[in-house]
Amino acid sequence: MFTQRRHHDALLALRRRLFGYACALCPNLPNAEDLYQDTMLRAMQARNVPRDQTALRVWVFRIMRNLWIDGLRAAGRLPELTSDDDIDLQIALDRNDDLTVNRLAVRQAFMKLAKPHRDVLALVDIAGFSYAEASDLLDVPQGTIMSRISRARAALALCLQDDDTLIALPRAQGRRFTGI
Amino acid sequence: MTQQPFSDKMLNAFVDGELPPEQAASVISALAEDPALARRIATLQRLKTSLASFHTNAPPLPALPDHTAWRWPAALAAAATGAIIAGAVWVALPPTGPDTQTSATAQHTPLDMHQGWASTGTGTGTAPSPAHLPDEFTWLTPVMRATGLQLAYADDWRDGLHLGYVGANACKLSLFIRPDDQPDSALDIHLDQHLQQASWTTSGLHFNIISQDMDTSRFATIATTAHAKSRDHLPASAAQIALINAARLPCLA
Repeated sequence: MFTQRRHHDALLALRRRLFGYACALCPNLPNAEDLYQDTMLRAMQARNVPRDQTALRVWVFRIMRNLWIDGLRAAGRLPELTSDDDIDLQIALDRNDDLTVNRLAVRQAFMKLAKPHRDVLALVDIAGFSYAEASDLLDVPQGTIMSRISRARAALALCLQDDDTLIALPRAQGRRFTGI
Repeated sequence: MTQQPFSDKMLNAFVDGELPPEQAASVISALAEDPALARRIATLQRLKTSLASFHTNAPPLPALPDHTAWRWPAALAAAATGAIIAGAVWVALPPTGPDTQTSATAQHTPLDMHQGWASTGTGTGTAPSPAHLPDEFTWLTPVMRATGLQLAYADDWRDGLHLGYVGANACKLSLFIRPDDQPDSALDIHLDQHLQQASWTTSGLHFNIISQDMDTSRFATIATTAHAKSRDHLPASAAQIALINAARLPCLA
């Protein structure tokens, strides 16, 4: 119907963050594009669409996440969604007070994180959800979101420190660009 | 150096703007005297901002497959339409009346919307062109053509549609179509010299037809024919068209 224009506009407004989330979840760009397309199609064809903008945003991202989980399940990789890692950021930072935070290196390190860490960081940092919204989307208590975020960023920091194949600032690290 | 214990969870929440004001204030006051704390927060902030623009070039919305509708509700199950078609029609029919794309208008009744549109004087000019409806409403076109009324207005309303028709003799008629999960209902028609209303639900769609100062027989003929065609989706018979034609009369206003 004509009023799908509102629905259409709402989905348009979510494109960048939604695609960013897909890129964070998937191992490569083609997979991310497929996940994004499948999510959008499902959202566009849905029968009951939330009218509230916030609820709509959570609803669309939940669609994507569920599709992603379905894919993992089909590939027999669902157990990768759990993670018992518990890394203390302070310990990670103590190993190098001058942790170099190069944007590209961060993104590369991010893609090496375990799925649960990528998932929660993507929701908060890429998709822009609040802790309360992420809590609703993942159906976990808000305190759990706080813990997961903390562990995920600690893991990210550790990954940046440990992996010298990541691109680093020549000024800080004195290494040639090696890429991955 | 301040020995304020700030856990990783607290600092991450601070960076994310999720810390309660009192705790955030305590972190801020400690920052000035604790360089190590400042470095930790700065690192967390850089990690966050590095991810924020993770990907900026999002693909466009996918095109829906043929015969797949924007399925707002099961309503469209019986009337598949392509989003492209709907979008094209929308472009072809820019609203000429008041801008109704506000949450406030979503609360207005069909009568409110009709009166709002009718009172603005829009529709007295030429109808927007090309004025056509999506394929699934082809049954409506000959019915309305026979009435002598021209489609002059179209706008979103409550996840449905408000169509405004005008005639050469001051007649204005509104047709509202919106998704409705309620069971099919019979035609409910109210006729008064100054206000005429008809409504019904069929196949997941709810219809309202409203006019003011229209000849009651003319309105009843339009409403009953529209009701019948909305149910069988068959082209109006010659007899039905003739009846509508015969009922044409100027509106009283």
